[in-house]
Amino acid sequence: MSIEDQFAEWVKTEQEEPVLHWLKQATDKERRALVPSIKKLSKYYNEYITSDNRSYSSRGTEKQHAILHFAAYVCFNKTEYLKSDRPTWIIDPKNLNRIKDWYHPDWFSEMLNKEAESEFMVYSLTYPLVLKLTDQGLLQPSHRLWARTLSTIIFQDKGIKDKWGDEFKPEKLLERPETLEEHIWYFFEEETELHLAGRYNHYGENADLSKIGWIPAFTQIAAEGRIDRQRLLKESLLASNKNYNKNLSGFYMDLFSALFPTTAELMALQPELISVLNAPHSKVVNESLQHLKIIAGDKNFDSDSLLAAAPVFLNSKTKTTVSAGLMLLEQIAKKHPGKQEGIAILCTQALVHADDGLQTRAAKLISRYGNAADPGLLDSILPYQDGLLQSARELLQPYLTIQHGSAAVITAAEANTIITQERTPVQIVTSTDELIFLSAQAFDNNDPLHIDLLPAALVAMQPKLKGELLAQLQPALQRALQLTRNNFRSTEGYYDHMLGIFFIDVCIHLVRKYPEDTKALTALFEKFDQQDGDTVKKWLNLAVNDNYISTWSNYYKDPYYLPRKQWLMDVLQKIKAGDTLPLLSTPTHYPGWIDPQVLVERILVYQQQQQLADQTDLLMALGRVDLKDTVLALQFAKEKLAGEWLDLLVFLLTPGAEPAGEITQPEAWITAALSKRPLRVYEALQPFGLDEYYFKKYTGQFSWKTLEESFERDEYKWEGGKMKTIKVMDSRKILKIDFPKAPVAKETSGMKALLEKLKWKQKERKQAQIPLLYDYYEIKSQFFSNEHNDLRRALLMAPANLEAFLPAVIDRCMSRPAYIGEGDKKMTLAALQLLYETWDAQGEMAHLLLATAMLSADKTAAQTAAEIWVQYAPVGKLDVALTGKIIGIHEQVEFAPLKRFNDLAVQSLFRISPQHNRLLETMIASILAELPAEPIKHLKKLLELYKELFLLNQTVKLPDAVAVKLKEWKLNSGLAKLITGFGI
Amino acid sequence: MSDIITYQYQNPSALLKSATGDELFLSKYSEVQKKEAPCFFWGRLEDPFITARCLITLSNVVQSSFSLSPFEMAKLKDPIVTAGHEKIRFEGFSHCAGVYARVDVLPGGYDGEFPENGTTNVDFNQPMISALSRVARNEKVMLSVGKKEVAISKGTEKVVERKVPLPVKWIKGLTSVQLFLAEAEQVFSFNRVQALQLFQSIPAGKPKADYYLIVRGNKPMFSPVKAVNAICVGGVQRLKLIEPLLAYADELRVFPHPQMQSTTWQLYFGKIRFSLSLSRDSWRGFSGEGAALESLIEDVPDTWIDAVDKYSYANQVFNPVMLAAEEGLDLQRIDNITGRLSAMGLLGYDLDENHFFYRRLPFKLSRILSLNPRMKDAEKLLEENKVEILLRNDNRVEAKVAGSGVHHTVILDGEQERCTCTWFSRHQGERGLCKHVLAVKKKLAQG
Repeated sequence: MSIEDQFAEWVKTEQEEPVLHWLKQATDKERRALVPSIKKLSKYYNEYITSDNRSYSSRGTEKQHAILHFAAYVCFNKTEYLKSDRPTWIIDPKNLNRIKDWYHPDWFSEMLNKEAESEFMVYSLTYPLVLKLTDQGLLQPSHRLWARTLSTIIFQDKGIKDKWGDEFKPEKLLERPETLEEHIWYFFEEETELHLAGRYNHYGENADLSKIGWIPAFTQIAAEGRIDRQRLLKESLLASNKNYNKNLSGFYMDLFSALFPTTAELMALQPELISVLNAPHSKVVNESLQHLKIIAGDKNFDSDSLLAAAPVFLNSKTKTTVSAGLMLLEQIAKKHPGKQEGIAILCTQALVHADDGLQTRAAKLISRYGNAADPGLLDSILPYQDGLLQSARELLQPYLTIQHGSAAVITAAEANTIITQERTPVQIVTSTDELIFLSAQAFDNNDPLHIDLLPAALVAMQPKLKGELLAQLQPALQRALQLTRNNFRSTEGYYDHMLGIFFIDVCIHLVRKYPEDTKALTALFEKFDQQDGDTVKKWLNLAVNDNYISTWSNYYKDPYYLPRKQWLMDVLQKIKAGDTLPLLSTPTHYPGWIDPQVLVERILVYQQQQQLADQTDLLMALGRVDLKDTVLALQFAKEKLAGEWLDLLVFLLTPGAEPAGEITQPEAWITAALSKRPLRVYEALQPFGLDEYYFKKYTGQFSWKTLEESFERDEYKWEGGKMKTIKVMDSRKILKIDFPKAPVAKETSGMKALLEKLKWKQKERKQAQIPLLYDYYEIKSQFFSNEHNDLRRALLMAPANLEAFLPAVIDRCMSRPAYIGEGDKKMTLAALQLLYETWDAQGEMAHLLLATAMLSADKTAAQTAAEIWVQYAPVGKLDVALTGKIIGIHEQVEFAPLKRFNDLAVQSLFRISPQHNRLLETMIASILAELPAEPIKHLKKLLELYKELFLLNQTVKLPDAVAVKLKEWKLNSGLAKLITGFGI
Repeated sequence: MSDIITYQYQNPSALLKSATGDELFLSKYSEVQKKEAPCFFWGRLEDPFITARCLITLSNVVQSSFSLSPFEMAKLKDPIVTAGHEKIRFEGFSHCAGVYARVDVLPGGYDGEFPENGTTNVDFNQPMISALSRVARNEKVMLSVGKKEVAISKGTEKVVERKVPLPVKWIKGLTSVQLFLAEAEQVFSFNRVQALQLFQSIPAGKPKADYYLIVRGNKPMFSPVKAVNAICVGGVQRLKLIEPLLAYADELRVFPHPQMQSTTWQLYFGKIRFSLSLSRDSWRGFSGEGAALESLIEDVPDTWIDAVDKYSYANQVFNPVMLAAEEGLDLQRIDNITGRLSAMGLLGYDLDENHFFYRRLPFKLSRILSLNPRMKDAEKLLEENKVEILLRNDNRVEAKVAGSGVHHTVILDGEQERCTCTWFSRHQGERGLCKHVLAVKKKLAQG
């Protein structure tokens, strides 16, 4: 028997000893010869198998795996071993000890040191093991290996069977002298997770957690004089400014502070303390400032170095840092009169912050210590002049050289940066080249309109879709087939999948129509045929009248995908029938509009051919018509169209027109009515079901409320060595949209009503047979995956009435003060982005989305909302009072911290143009009018901003509702002084 | 070739204290410079405080990574320094190769001599960086790049040897970023207060969305929505790397790439400049952009490269027309020369002066040339005879290229190059040509 066969037999029969014996005595050459066998057997025993189709496990037993690991370790070279399935297996004393006396590869140290670089270091690689191996001369540990293994040494498992419990054992550090002399200092050299060490441990119910952890351990050994305290202070300070992550940097600063450095020690560490002021994390900078404050009065304090570092903390984004910095400068100014003028100049840098408190404090220091005759000081103030708030402006009046605001004043129109000046036309495919390259990229979501353009191109190019051209569709078909294997990219959505399936159906049609020219496509289909149990699922095994697109759905069966699916089914049918009449709904310009003239032209073709358009195509077209300028299109329609087409288009394109003539396609008329502005109920359409309820539903104008509600939740508590679940009452803030139930006729009840529900489409709008697009605007997904890449495309089915979709988005994504998941955030953003591009006299739901987004924790969402406000408020398309009112209603229960709005207003809405300032004042007045009598948190900042605007806009009279509120709030001592400033 | 590169420094770099003032000694190493390392610069820094802060920021850039977790990051890549032609330039890249930074110390920013010229790696170690942050305003600091003959350090000599995996992305980024810089144009100039206001509008955290730099009145800000004439920045949080320098800067200039594939942010401090270039997005490194691929299609004769290497010296302006004239080279191929030389790590680009300058990366040329996998893939397609030209006339070329499982269509129509492959479909040519188009072009070039 060859050694390969013998080895296979040993593995099979789980005989470990003979294998170890053989490995020990084998020559290098013999060991190398066994490598292929080990690889082959490892692969075999690692395969996952199942006996019951429910549970899966690897084929090998624990012993068989162990034999293969030993063999791999001994026979493989470094690269092979490190690439093997579990190289860390050997880093375990119980395995290593059986082999290390007779086999020790020269890459052993490298392997362990590399392990210390990995994100999750193997659990069995411990400090005692590293010590032992080092003692035995088997390991040369890297500093990082020492640091990472040492970080867990003070936390020990109690070792009580079946009980979870740990002990804090700082004395472990004393067992070996080199631990404190050498290894512990590597913590200050290497980035570890020292601050998180022991975080999952449990020390019993009564443990005082403030006395457990690395900081208590360090303070204890320092107090006992076992470690060089001066070095510890210095190293922890330096480590806090080593570009480590925020928490670890903060940990080192906490350690420094926990050692309670004396004044003399702080004096000795002045250069380090000052250098820490350059640290990127505000906590570290703040604490350093606090320590410097203690010694700033000392006669040997290096104030020049501090002053040189001052620009960094004065320009910090953290208010407390700037504030503490100014205090420190004031301290130095008092102590060193000769430095006062320089300090006054430095303080001008704090004027960059649009914060009344900071500006006032800086202005006071400037006016106290500055020399008004110093041109240097005047030059330093000049760049900040436009941004000065009223109180700082008053304090600095003697230093201001030009008239306030003159440089910064722009008109609201100049502030408008939106790209709407020119409509960007959509490139419609006209050549075979373009079709080939469009199909190759159509499933990538490079352009949200590809889902319209590819089907439109396939319909239009049918006469040319034959011969050699067909083989060139091969790459696109490959992409489509790959998508069916859920090969999703982060930028793709379910629509891409849907479009891919549609394309597969089209290709199957082409294969059947032109079998000779499509052999390349047939071969590709066969390549993607899939084994399904005992049968092979063949793509081309499909009945002639059947298709794949009709069975498409996403996991949660979201209704809003259905209209597009129906549309693609209709398009497929058109292609199968050889119908080349143009699709009505293909957009002509971005983001997804149709030029009304082009729509009339397309309808004319149908009229001339006496053909009816597909319903979904027609409804989408009517939801996409750009009604900004309809004069020419109307004239053209009147000249060319006749009958109901004419009546419908005249109604759609004539501002203020009423429906007239015979209505045989009520869905089209209702859709047209909902695309028109201003929105209203038309009497002529009421008999077709557009009553008050459906008008609300189709325009998204539901009532809503923000409230705080109680609910029961689970809490986990550690009791008697076990984790217990207990029920506790809690409260949460919630934004609720009232989706009223569809009116049900009185006579239907019981079983009859249930049957009615099953026929839900017919029931919902009884008079009509065909549902509108808006009947599908519902989100069912419990969790989002790639839906955010689809929302834009869903809304673009009818951009003229996208508000109909917003209640679903708000209810699903924005009903809580914080986003539940990343998907909710991305969905909100997608809706906001499209609103930014298409906003036009929206109703309350769009304002609700906008106002709620202004309170969002996500800065991108909040800033996008702010941009919508900046662009559309001055042109009267956005109701600032309504936006303010909604924010005020949210703040009645403090749905989200008011600070979020305050910060957004100062950063993005304030001082854009005089008109914006007046609008902002109106909006804030509307917020204030809704707020409760008891001041909410952060109200003061909002009032400060309101006052700033009140003075800036030279408003003469406070709105009555605001005056009432201010009187109520004046009773609050913290606000009284500020409110007196309004003359109340 | 070994995938490990070993930096060998004779001494660690250090900020050395002496009675007359501090001395910033930068220890250097170049794997292409065989002779005993000469001193490239020795002299006094006119503004050591700002220079020190710029170097700290550069060190923050080379230690940062925006698409890898800290544990994935390889060891610190040392910045490189080019000294000569009256300028000292420090260059570095983030680990993810998406952020490029350069400190230029211009004439007037120092008072000293250039005993030799050249480009070298310099040792950036933590103790030296920490020491730099202690350089104060009025301090006198000498700088030496490499060791001057008279020993400046009386301490014990200590050889520093650092083995790091070959920083492939890093080297490739250094070569391709220059082509992005060459195409960039200045769009904005902001004073210090405007720059601070702009940076205040950078959102907290790591926003995934693109941000757009807009100016309202005279106030610049970042907005998450597209706007007229706005500069698009992906991974805007990366800009925070230069935030600590803003308080000291006189001016900030912004140079976007015409197709917004990168942006460069240049801060001015008298005779010192700090440039930060950002790739299109956090997860995209300059290394993968393939900007230089086009210029690699045609082989440039070795004699040209030798000529450049022989006649040029560090930081000298590179003038391709002059070179062509002097060497009698084909003028029509000049455009390719700069691209190719940049891709070989021989050129850098100065945005203010608007010219390429010579600087030879301190890595073996063979290493650098092995870094264009797409080109290698294209060559493989040609070797395997997978490219079939179907039509070729003055303005149009149609070709069929065998891909994995399918045949791709490549059409070159005037300036437009298109392919049906996944790479082209996804990026639409924005990230360089795909291997199929490259192979077709190479085949055409070979005649």
